[in-house]
Amino acid sequence: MNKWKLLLPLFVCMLAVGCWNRVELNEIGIVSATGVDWKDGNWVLSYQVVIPQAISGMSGVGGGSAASVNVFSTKAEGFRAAISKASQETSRRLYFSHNQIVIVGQEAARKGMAPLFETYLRNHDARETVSVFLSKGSARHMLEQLIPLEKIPGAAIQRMITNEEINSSTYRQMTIHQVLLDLMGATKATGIPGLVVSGSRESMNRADKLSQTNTPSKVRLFDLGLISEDKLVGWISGEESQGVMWLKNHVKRAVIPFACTEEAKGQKSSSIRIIHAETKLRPEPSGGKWIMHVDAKAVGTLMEYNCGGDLSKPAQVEKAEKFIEAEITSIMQKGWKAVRKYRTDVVGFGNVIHKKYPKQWAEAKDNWTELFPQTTLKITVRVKLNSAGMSGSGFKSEQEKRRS
Amino acid sequence: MNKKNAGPLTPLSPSLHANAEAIRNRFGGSCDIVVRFFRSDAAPDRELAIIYVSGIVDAETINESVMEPLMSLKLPQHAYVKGGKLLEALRNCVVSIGSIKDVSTLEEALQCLTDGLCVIMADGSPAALIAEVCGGEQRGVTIPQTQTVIRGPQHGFVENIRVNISLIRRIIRSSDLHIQMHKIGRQTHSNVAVLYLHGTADESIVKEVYRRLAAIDIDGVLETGYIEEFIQDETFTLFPTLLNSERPDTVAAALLEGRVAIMVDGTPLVLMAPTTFFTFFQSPEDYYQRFDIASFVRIIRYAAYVVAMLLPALYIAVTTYHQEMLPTTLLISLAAQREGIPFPGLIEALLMEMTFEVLREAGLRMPRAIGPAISIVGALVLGQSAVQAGIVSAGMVIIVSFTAISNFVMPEFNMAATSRIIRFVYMLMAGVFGFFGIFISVLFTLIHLTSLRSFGVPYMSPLAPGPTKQGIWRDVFIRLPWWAIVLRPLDLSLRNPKRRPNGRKPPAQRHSDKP
Amino acid sequence: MQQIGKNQLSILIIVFLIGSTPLFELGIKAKHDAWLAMILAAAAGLLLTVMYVHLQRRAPEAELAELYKMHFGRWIGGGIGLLYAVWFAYESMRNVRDVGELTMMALLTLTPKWIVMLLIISAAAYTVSKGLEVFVRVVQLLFPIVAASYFFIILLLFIARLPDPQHLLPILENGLAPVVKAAFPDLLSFPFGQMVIFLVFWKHVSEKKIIGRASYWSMIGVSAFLVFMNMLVMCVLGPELSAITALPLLEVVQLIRLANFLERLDVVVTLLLFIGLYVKMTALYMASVFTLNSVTGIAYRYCVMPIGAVIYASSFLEPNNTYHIWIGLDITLKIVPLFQVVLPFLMLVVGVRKRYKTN
Repeated sequence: MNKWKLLLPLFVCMLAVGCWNRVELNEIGIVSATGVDWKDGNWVLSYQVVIPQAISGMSGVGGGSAASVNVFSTKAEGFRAAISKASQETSRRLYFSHNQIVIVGQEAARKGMAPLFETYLRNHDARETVSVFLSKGSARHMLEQLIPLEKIPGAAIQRMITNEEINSSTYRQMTIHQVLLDLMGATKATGIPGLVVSGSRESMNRADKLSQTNTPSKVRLFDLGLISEDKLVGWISGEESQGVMWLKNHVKRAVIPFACTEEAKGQKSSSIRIIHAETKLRPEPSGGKWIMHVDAKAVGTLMEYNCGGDLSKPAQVEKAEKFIEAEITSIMQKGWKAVRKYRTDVVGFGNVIHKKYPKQWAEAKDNWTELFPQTTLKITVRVKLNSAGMSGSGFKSEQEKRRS
Repeated sequence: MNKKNAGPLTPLSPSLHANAEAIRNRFGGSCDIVVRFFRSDAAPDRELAIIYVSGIVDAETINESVMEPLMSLKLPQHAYVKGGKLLEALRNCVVSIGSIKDVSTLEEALQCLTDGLCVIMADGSPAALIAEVCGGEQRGVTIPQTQTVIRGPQHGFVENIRVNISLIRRIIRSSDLHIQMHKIGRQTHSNVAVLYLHGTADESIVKEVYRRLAAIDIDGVLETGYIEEFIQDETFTLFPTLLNSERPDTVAAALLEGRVAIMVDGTPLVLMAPTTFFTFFQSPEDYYQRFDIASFVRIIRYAAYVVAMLLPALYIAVTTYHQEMLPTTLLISLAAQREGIPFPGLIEALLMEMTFEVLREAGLRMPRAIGPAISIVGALVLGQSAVQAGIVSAGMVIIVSFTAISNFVMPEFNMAATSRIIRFVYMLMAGVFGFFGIFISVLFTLIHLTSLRSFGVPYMSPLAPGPTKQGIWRDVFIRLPWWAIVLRPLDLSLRNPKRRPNGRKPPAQRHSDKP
Repeated sequence: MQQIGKNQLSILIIVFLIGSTPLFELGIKAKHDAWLAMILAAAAGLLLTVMYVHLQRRAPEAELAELYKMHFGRWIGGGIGLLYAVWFAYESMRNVRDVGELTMMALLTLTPKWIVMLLIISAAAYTVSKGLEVFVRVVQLLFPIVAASYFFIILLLFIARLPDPQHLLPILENGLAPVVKAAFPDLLSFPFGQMVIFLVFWKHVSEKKIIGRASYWSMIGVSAFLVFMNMLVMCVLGPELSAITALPLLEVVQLIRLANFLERLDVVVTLLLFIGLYVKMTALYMASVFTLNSVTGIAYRYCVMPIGAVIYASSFLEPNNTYHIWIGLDITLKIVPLFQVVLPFLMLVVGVRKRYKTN
């Protein structure tokens, strides 16, 4: 048999040279989160490496016997150079494919995140589904924090943002992919949620601290960092961030407290749960400048209503809807003001204009940073209450009715 | 059949004693040759003899149907029978046996003796009378050992070819069932029967079977396996190109589908040809159960086959090359298991697979009584303790066990055996190249599979090449209800491709619920 | 005489044209109008196919080299046939090299290329030595895998809500010129113009009458699919990202995250990539062997190994990936129209003057 004679040497040299890429599971260090800092002209990369035995629960790990992750840093002038230095201080090959989040320290973000994106585009094991966060302090400090209820802090932060995105839409999960899409798009700007360690100054970096019922400090989402080109240009607050989300049509579900006036002033004692929202942007050129028609529609359920009036009457429902519309308009206005201040088009007006008026955009795009803040916003909001909840007029008004 | 060993034929001599002596000498004086001289009233002046091989004849038949009529015969008219006419008279009027014939050479007589027939000779006649008195001890028809079904006939073939043929005859009661007998084996002179359904089976395939059988020259045929290796199209393949079964219903079904069956005396296993890859995934029970469950089970079988071939290789590839494919939590728990395991994944897998193969072979060969001991050793010592001792990881034990169990799902043992060998090739390739290695080896397997043929029928039909007729698919991956399976499954230019007329099932009488 | 059926021909055309095409965002020079360029090129490709089928009808039992001999005489035609054999082998070599490069890039970063390419070329050589019938059957077996994988990927992309049609806007931002530039000659040469290879295989189709219909319809179907995949990738990645990633489809699939377990499906894409490249490489390799056989008369089975060896050896000529892609996209694409358009067209003209009838 001729072909067997041919196959044999093939097989032999195959086995003789074999197994180039082989890595056993106990030879890799699974990185669950990465931190990027800039310090004294060097990139400092921090890694949160999972310790599998501490997690898989074979040895009955309880509250605080051993930390489930280990954090360490390396530094070098280049990004990958820093990563490769890791082999000088760890016995295992760092494995980034299961990395869940990247936290960029404030300093590093102001310096510019281009090397980070470059790394993600060029390397196969770096995945664009990783969530990006900015950190108000150093990124490494964030990685060191243990999070109650969770074994792997990196995965926990990732789940935190998913939860936030789905349930209150103040911040949006920004994966590297989305950041790249925004930064390479027409406007070259985006917003990335920030992280802080709130509470006391005490760091949650010891497993035995989790054995208490309350933790002195915790990691939380805080503020939205505005990125232009590849640099951090400023922070806007959570409330303003929500306005940006409304403008960008990223609101999925949210709870919005509102006041009993149509000017959105006063005590916000009532609230609505938005279950569906959609924002449409329609640009209109007006003498070298732009008018942006923002058309938002929202459907929601009343959760709490302290404005009096009988909600079983349609007129009263319409009134309530007006209150909410006013509130949403004011949220958007706040967001818009904040963004305008930084001249960063994170709301993507430029994109919309590019799609609709490609020719005019070609003229406008060079001095868009100047034109953008001069855009006039025309906001119309339409809220539909599809349910006033399970009670009609409300506790207080019913009480008053009895009294009279 | 055996023209090659037909030397010069020796005619029988007229002397009875010379003949008897010659037969004895040819057998080297073997003790089981019975030669009994006697005289009969039919021809009182001439000595008669009956010769047979004890143990393979039915002694009772000889006594009742041969000896007794001969010896107790007192009819005067037979006294006139003289010379050469004596044997003819005996055949016509005395010996009360259905199958009887004359032979005139010593070699023929010897052949008949070893076939379990008895030879009656008379002094003065250079010929012998052969009466069929086959019998002797043999196994009765019992439940098939290797292919069991829950619903369906519960009898299996035995070692006797005549019984086996009768079992088929009882199922297919048609004159179209043609059976040709051949003798193969210089020494064993085994009976080999070729069965086919005339008008349904492809004539060219039947002829090809004859041609290939005729070309066999070997000293003995003990099992259909001998025949299989001689007549299969491709020797250097891991895939069986002939189906075998010990179930009469399976063979009958194959005949109805236009296949040719080959039986060998002395074994309960019957060969069927031509066979395609997909035939091996069809259990007889598929056709007895409801079609929905049968289809479901059949899909499971295909899946199990893929699992049995690929699962260990995939595990090796994923854990040593493509860790990114695992969900994070799974990766972490697998990584935790692997802490402290001394062997690389490939070696660990090979070790466990080899252990399993040894266990399995031991389970087959050992005496029945110590069966439980093997399972205890296998399950406890090799499974649990190996994991606790940290020599293999728990994940690997799960993988190996599931692979093994998947292998047992296959209804045909020889196809299951294929996956046992190929698995190791895949594992090696996965260990060296990860997924790329698996891809390449599967690709080679596919190319090989499509180049195979069984008696001219492409092995992967009707998938590749695709079906030439609409409707062949109805009994490949799933089984549609019987009334929808119109065509015979073999994609051949059969003379009679339809097994039933087109159309739906006969409508049932509708009973109205209204009063 | 090896024969292939109607369905087999369609499947071969489909898998051959799909090949590795959806993995790359072709026509990206036209940015978000790449899909328009695809449509243009596909239409032109269909025209070419009509021409090829017309040529084939003049002599249904002839293959490419025999057609050329018939039109241009024994020596010139034979010479052109040899050129084709070399070109087919060259294209096959490009696919071998692609396998090497892509494996290095995406799957086995440390494994040397030579062994990877040796393995894939030996699979191709094994197939070619078994003949056209076996090859077509293998393609038939691979087709359901390819179809199911693409379906699965597309389904998951939509479930994960990754595609955003906004990325296709604005249509024709810079007018028609860049679209036409992207379509011709690059997109026409690869993949649509490669239909010329079927002049070698059509001879073996058992029913000559259906060749035209089967080829047109499968080509239309494949073109629609390729355009759709092109749009899909554009919708997910946007024009800027698709332009800078080497393997856009791989990038797209990496973005799928569903239910915490359906993620990191790149291996499915890599598998598709290998299947596509294998089919293409083998078809071209086999066409080269067929053509050489009919030009020189050397028996088919003696051509297999030498051509395989030549393909394998020549795949090492380019020093690195950048070079490989540069030669492939900048040089090759400028030359291949000779084989795909100019020579067949000449043959068409000569045939009209010689008044060959088509049956």
